[in-house]
Amino acid sequence: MINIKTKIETRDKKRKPLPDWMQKPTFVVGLVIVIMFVFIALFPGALTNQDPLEINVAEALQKPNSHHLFGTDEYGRDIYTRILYGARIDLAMGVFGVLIPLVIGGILGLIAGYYGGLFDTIVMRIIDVLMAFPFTILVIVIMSILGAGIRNVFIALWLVGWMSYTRLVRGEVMKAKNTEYIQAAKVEGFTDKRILLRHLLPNVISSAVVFAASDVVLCMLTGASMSFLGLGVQLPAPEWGAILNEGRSYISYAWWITLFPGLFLAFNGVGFSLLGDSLTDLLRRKGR
Amino acid sequence: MKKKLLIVALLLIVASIAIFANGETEKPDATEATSAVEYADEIVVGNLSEPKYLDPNAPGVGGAEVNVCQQIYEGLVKTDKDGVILPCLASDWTISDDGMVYTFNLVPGVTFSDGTPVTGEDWEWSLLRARDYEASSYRFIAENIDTVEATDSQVVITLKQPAAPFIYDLANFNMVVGCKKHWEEVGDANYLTDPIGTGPYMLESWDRGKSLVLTANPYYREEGYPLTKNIKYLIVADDNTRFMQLQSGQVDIIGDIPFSIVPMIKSNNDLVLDMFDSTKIRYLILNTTMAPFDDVAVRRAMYYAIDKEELAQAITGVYGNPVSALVSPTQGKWSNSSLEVTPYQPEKAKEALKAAGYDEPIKFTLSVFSGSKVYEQMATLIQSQVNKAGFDCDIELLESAAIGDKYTSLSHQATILMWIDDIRDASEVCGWTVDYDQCDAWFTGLRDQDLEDLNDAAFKELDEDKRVEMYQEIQQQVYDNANVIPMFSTGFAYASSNKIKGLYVSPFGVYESKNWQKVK
Amino acid sequence: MNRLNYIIKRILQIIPVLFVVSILIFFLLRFIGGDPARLILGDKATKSAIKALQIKLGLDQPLITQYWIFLKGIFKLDLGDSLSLQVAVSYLLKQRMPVTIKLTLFSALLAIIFSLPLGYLAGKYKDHVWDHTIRTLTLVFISMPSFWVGLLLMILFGVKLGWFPAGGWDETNLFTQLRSLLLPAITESLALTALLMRDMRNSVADISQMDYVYFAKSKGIKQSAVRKHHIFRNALISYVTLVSINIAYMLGGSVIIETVFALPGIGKLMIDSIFNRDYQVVQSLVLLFAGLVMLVNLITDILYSFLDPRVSY
Repeated sequence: MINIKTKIETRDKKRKPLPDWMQKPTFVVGLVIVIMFVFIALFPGALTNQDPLEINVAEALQKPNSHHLFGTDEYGRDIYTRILYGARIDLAMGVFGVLIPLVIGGILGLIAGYYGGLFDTIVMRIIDVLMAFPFTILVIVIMSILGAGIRNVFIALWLVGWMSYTRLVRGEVMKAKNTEYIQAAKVEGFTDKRILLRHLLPNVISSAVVFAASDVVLCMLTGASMSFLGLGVQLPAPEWGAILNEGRSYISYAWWITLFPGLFLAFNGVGFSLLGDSLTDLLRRKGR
Repeated sequence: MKKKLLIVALLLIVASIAIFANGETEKPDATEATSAVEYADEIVVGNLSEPKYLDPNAPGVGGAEVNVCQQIYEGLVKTDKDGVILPCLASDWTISDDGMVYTFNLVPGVTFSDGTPVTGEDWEWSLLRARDYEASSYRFIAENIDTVEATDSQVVITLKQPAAPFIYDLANFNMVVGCKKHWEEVGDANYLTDPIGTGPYMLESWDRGKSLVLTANPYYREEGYPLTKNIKYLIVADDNTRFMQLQSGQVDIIGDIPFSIVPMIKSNNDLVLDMFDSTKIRYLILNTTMAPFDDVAVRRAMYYAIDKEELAQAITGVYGNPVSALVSPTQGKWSNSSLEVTPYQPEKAKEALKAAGYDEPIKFTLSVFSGSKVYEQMATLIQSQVNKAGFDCDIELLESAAIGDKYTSLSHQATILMWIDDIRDASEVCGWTVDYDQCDAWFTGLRDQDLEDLNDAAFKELDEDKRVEMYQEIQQQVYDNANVIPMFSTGFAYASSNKIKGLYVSPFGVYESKNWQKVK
Repeated sequence: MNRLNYIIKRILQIIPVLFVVSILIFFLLRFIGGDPARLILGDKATKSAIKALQIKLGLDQPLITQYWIFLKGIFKLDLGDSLSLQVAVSYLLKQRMPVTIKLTLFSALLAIIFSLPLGYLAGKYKDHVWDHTIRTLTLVFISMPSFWVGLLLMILFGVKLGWFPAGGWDETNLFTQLRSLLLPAITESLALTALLMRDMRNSVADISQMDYVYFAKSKGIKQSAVRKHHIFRNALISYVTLVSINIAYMLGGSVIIETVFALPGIGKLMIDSIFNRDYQVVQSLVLLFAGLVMLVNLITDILYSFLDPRVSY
């Protein structure tokens, strides 16, 4: 066994090394999927010439055919077109649902981890309380208070999402706080702020960013679940979870309304997950 | 070694799937069909929602409660298919000339399902309970009762004022006789879930959230009824699941099915689709206390801006009809048939708005209940229709509590609500539409004193032809006010196994399961 | 002694958290708005009937009083009565809990059954084809929306093939119950399978690594064996911990699955109660769930403190 291992290592050394990220197939696949997703979100019109909102009752509930690639829904709207136009909503939910928690949660984690003390205790207690609630119920309650609509989906995602980042960053900061590297910076008289921003942050941020990549999937799915329960995006927006919900009444005979939006959700989820997962490996390899 | 483990694991998995996937459920009776028709002992109904209580005067009585209670409790009279009043526990009756005193002769020898005979005291207590139970939503049916005097053979009811529909009110599901002694024994809280009535069935068991079983009342006064010994209600909280359970034979009857399932039922030869005439209509409710619908011209423009045909067609297929009169056509002469359905004319709507001084498309929000497919569909279609007719409509989906809050506080601009009449009379829906004090004129905020006075007069008018005229006039005025706009009517859609006989649902949504039979 | 103090400290910490949770859920629910009395009475509710019911249900009293009544009940271990159903919340719990528990246990079982062999394979053949395929597969599992998977399974196995009921709960006997639960359990187990698989894979990879080291160093069988034993134990701990924590979460998070498959469980009860503004039910259930989660976390932490000497207080 050992011999094979050493053989591989030497063989690699002889070749001109490709950049790390290109070597990993999962990363490439993930990146490609995400780029496709972004493209669809930005330019749905490039891939279809129909109107996602146009109602045409005469063409209701058609099976997938040449005119309607994924069939039509109960109002005669083209499912394919609706899915394409819905991409931007789901992408936004995933990305922006994660961005704010990443930033705010990260900052909170930095401060709490570095300074400790009362601030840290308060923040952690708050997190304990919030995490004691069943996640889905908490989101539902928040959505019920705020009312439905895409803006409130974001607010709910932000209110619930920051905690993971705070815990993550705080943990990393606490570990890094006691390293020689940071101790040295302190001894040299750098201000706290400088230490936080220029020394700690670059080191702890990578794990947060990696977590964010897979969190995008969770946010997208949570947003879609809310639409599925009737609490999310408002009609007639073609958000994928909402289309799935519309299709529920017809699953006995119009399965296409259910199949395709879910496929897209799954596919894009996989893309982000692959990205996140391979980022973990890559960053680990770089050896922090 | 490890590979073998894997293979064994896989085999186990396949085996367990095979065991589970045993195909369709076995029918409980595998007996051969004999030449004489044999009937089953039990019929299973798949209900979407569970009754909260089994007392028709309890809080929040709705379809689920009414249907089960109807099998357990009975009243003095009942209505037949055509709305004619038939005797029930009363054998005959007379009404005084001034319309204030109703005297009923009771059918002798009636007992409750526990064997106790029905006494006059029970009648007095029951009818006054219908009137006085504070948390009941149907008190208004009995509020006109002044006094009840009853012996074991006669019931005399004196009213506070003459009320033409009173005999029909007495046929309503909450004007039934209950056992006072039983109520005293178990206390009010328990009485709501432990019913004892004179009807063909009594409660055998109730597994909350899952099922409810009714069994034949051994003391029922009609020989040979009920035809089927047990009626079991299965609570199945999803329409698709209900339908699939009907297909697989787990349930025999499902009611109030969504129209999306109808094609599936028609294509299945073992199932029967029944579309019973109903008084169910959906209405567009416009809030007259705020812009833009405070202007009657804008409201009237809606007549041209909505395509009721498309609504009925898209949502209910051939089973719905556009309507224009407040009272359902199923109510016969009470409905104003001279009011016609205005066809969709978007250009005319735009002109009307322009003539009223509006150059820009009129913005408004249509707030609807999110839990119902029909409401969502209506909102989606209406939005697309009115947006081509000079309006700019947004849809707001709200869950039940939120939308309820909104329209009870008159903070909505437009919403969609539904009405089903409970009695064969125009007074219910008309009363609700014009009553400003109890419900803000059906949440439109329109105070029309003349209309309310007319409605009061129509209620008291004893001459039926005059009454009909008055209600016609009320409907005309509501039409002109354009605050409550009827959209379309639908029937009660029931799907059942083709083995079921005797299924009939009245226009008020109630059925008599004592007539049901299931061929084995 | 340190450890005992730690345990006591943790137990004491639970109480204020539960207290805050109770306040939070009580007032959050009130913030949603909506009138439970009007919801109970339905479409034809007259203003006077609504008022009468509000008084009957005690909803007209000041919020603090209502909160105090709720709290008092909790101390007496009385969960109160459901507003809309007028039955004891504990009765509803007894009715619905078994369904959710069975579903959760079934899902966990499936997750374990699938994650063990898959994780083993992935760890044993780390970085090779098996590893990549299995890891990608489980990534796919996590990325799929559970309600979509559930619906698809229902279409395929419930509608088209008819092998399983398409939703609903058939309580007749154990067999029918398992049949009702299989599709939902498969759906729910996907995410957990992925998590457990990854954990198993890492553990197996570590152990396999040990084999190399064992051969390579040959420094004495005892030392390597002890290290291997440690890794084994850690692997077991982390796996079991994952299972138990996630079971606790699944008990409260089965809302979507129960909705899709129309199962009368706790999750569906909670979401229905939120829509019905049945405050008492939601408050009691959330508090119960919070207590459960904290308890599981506490037990996990205590176990860790015994098993992992590196943990300090």
